[in-house]
Amino acid sequence: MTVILVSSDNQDFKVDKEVAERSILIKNMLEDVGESDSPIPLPNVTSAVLTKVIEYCEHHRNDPVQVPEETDDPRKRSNDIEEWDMKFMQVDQEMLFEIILAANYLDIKPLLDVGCKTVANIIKGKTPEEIRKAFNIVNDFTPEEEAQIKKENEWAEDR
Amino acid sequence: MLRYINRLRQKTPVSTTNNTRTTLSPLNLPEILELIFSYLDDYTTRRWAALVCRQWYLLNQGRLAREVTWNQDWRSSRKERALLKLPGAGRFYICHLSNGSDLMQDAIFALHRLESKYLKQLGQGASTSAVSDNSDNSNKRISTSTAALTLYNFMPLRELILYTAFGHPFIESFPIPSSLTRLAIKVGYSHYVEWDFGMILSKCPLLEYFCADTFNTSDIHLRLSPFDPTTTPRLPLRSLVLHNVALPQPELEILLQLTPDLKELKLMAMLWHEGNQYNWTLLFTYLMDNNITLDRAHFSTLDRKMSAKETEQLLADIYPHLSSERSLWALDVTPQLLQTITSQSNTLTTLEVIWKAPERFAPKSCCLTSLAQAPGLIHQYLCESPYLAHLTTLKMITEETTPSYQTTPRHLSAILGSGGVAVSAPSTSKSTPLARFDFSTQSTVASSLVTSLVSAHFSRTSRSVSQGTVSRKLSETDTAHTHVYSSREGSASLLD
Repeated sequence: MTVILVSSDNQDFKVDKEVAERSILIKNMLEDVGESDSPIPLPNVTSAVLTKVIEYCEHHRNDPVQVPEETDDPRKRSNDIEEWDMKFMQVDQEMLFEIILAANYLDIKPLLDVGCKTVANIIKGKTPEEIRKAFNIVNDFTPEEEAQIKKENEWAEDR
Repeated sequence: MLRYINRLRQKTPVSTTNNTRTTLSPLNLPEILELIFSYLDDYTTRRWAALVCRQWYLLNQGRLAREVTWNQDWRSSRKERALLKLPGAGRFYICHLSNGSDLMQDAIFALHRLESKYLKQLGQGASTSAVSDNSDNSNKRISTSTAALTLYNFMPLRELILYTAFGHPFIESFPIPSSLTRLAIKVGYSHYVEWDFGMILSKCPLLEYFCADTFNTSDIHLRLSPFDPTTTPRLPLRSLVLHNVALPQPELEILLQLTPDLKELKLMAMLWHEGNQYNWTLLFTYLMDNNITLDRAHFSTLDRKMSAKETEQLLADIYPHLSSERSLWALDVTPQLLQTITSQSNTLTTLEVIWKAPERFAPKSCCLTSLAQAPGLIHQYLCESPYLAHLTTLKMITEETTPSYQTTPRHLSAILGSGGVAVSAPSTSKSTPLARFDFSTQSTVASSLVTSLVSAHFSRTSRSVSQGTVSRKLSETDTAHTHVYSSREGSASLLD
C-alpha cells in the first residue's frame, strides 16, 4: 500500500505506507483517517527536504521501533552515528537544520537524534566565538556576566 | 523560562540562512537545543556552549551545577578557598568530625551569608518581576525574575550533605539554607538527641529529599511537633529516607498526610521511640487508605525481626500495591520467606545486597543461624531468576582487625556460588545475561577478593579499583527490585 505526501511546494511523493509511517505524525494521521487515498499535505516541508527525509525513511524502513533508553546517565553519546547516517548528514548547514525541523515536525525521533548529534559534533571543539559565527548567534552577555561565568568555570574545574 | 526565551528570541533573532524561504532555525526551539546539548560532554558545555549566549547558558544551567566540599580537617587556607566558592554552587558537602559546632563557625557563617543573599535575590525577584511564580521550581523563578536586570547573581544552593561524626543538638541552630531541595544528614555516633523535623521542613519549603542516616550506634529522635495538618500546606517532599533513627509512628502518619508527592519511603532499622514499637501492619493500611503509591519502600525495625506473617503480608499483599521495589532486611530472610517469594512469579531484575557490621555489632536478638542461611537462599533464588540483570553489592564494610572480616566475601561467594552457578544459570538457561555488576567495599582485602571473584565470574567485567560495572540495556519494563539488608545496613563511611 502506498500513500501520497504533498510537499509545501505542491510536489507529490508516492511512498510505501511502511516508509511513511516512520513518521509518527503520519502514522497517527493514517490511523485517525483510516483507509483513504487522499494525499497528505505537509505544508512545513519543502520538496528538497522531503526527498531527503524519504531517503532516510526508506533506508531505515525495517529498523525496530526505538524504545526509550533506561539509563542513569543523562549524558548521551554523539560519536555513535552509523556510517550510512553520517554520509546522509553530509549536507550544508541549511539543509541540516531543515532536516532537523522536518524530523521534529514529522516526529521521526531517530532522524531528529541523528540531526542533533551532528549539530553537537559541529559544536564540539569550537570556541564560543566560533560557535556564534557558525550559527549566526549574537553574543548578548554583558562583559561582567561573561567574566562571572568564566570564574564559575574555573571554580568548577578546581576541586 | 519559556517566557524569557520568547522575549529573547524576539530580541536576538538567530538567522541561519540568507535565504528568505525559511526564517525558523532549530536553534530557536528550546526543546531541540536541549536535545543537542544532551549530546555534549560536561567540558564542552561548561567551557564553550554556556559562553555562547544567554539562552544557551540558561538552558545549560542545570548541568553546570558546581560542588563545593568543606572539611573541618583541612588547613585553614584550603577551607577559606572552599567557602569562597560557595555562592553559586549547587551542592555543598560539609564534613565535620568534632563534637560541638565550634570548629565549623566559618562554614556556618558562610551559610548565613549565602542565605541572606538568597533571600535578597528572592526579594528583588518579587519586586522586579511581573510574573508571580509560586511554583516549587525556583529555577524558573530566578530566571523570570532576573531577566529584566542582570543574568543572575548566583545560583541558589540546592543540595546539602552534612557529614557529622556526632549527632549534636546543634542541628537545631544550624543554618540550613531555605533554597535546598535535597538535604542529607549523615551521623556517625549519637547520644540521645531530639531533632525537630518539623522545623527543618518549614525552614526548607522546597525540600524534596530528606535523608537522616546514621551508620553507627545512634539515638536520634525526630519530632514533628509544630505541624498541624489542617493548617500546614502540602510539602513537596518526594523522598524520605531514615536509617537508624526514631520517628514516632503517629507523627509519621501526620507527615504523610502532607506529602502527596511522596515516592520513596525508606524506614530502615528504625529505633523505637520511648518503647513504642512500630506497627507496620497499621502503617501499611494507613498508606493504602491514603492512596500513597511509592516507587521505593523499605520498612524494618532495629533489633527486631518481622514476624513471618508480617513479612509474608509485606511481600504478598503490601509491596505489590505499594511499591515497585521490594526491600527486605536480611534478618527477615528465612526459609519460610523464600517459599513465599518463590511461590510468586519471579520478576526480579535487580538484586542489591548491602552488608554491614561484623557480628560483634549484631544485635543480641539477631538470629545468626538465619543470617548464615541467607546467602544460600539468595543463591537458590538467583538461579531461578530469568530476568535478573543487575547485581549490586555496594557499601560492604568489613573489619580486617576482627576474625569475622571474611564474612562479607564468604557470603558474597556463597551468593554467587562456586563456579559462578548463580550467575551463569539464569544466563544460559533463559538467555538473559547479567547486565550489571556493581560493587564497592571499604576493605582492601575484601575488595581484592571481590575483584578476583568478579573477574572469575564475568569475563566481560570492566574492572576498576573499587567499582566494576557491566552494563546492558534492560529490556524488561517490570523493575521489581529486591534489596536484602543485613543486620546493620547503612551508609558508607564519613569519608568515602
